[in-house]
Amino acid sequence: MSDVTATTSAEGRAALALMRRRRVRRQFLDEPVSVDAIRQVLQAARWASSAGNRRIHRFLVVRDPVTIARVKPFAPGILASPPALVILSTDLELAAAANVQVERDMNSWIDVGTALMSMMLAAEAIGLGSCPATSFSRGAVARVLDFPPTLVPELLLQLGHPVAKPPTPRRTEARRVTGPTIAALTDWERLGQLEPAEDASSESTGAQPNPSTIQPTR
Amino acid sequence: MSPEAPQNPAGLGQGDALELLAYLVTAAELCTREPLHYAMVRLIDAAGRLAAGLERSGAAADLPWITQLHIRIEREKELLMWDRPAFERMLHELAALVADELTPPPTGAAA
Repeated sequence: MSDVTATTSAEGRAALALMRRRRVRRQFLDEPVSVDAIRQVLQAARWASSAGNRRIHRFLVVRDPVTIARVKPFAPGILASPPALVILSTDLELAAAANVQVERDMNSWIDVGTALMSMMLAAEAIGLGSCPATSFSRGAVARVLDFPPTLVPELLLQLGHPVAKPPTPRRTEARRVTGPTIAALTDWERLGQLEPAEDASSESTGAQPNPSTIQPTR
Repeated sequence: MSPEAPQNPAGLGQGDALELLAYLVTAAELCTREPLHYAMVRLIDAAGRLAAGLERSGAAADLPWITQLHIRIEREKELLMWDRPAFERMLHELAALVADELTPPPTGAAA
């Protein structure tokens, strides 16, 4: 199945290709990441969707190797030595000012995800590798970075010039590596139904049952 | 480490030991909320960090298998993300390697 249609613009094809080729990169060259490059990545976070445009998250950029080395023991999700980290944090004061109930409102985490994805795509676009890490002790990292109690680290984004592209899995391994296809994870119109063959309603095309789906309850 | 404890030139340096301590405590905390099978990678990553510390201190100078173990962990620890059977195979083989190296030969065996 093609990812693009005949009417997709060149710009659209480039964007889709960028999304497709991006991979998590965990190994980095021992080269600094420029301020300009990081600024572009951060700008992409600013462009990301934010529930209600509340903007309750802050970004701490760390390039000092000593500070990164201090964070690393408390962040098992960092498997190598990234030359730059961006710590995405929830600012509880901003959240309170926006009447956000952080512990109950999952939008605050979704917003971390939208920012993260935009940042990783921006990094890929400018030739940087990126890897998110949530495997870290929030309390310990907050202490190492001298955060006030009103700033809660949610995610560490590792940035750097990647060592090498991970090997492309052989086709026989692709299913194990990439997981199920989007078709297997998606139902159309109602649970248990595959996408229609044509760009038309499922009723008119007699959509087929989806064997991978969760069945409707009635 | 207590102030009166003797320094062991063949042991783990204090910096590496404390870093490993921090890593282990954090990894334990993460086990409270992360997928249970992540514990495997945390433990083997800790073993790799211990091996690296022993190399840095010189304690592994006459133990080349420590370097061998360290290299293999660094090369293959990410396999858990996309090839779990291969990752588990590495664990089995490394356990056998360590057992071989730490088990004295049977009495009377040829040198």
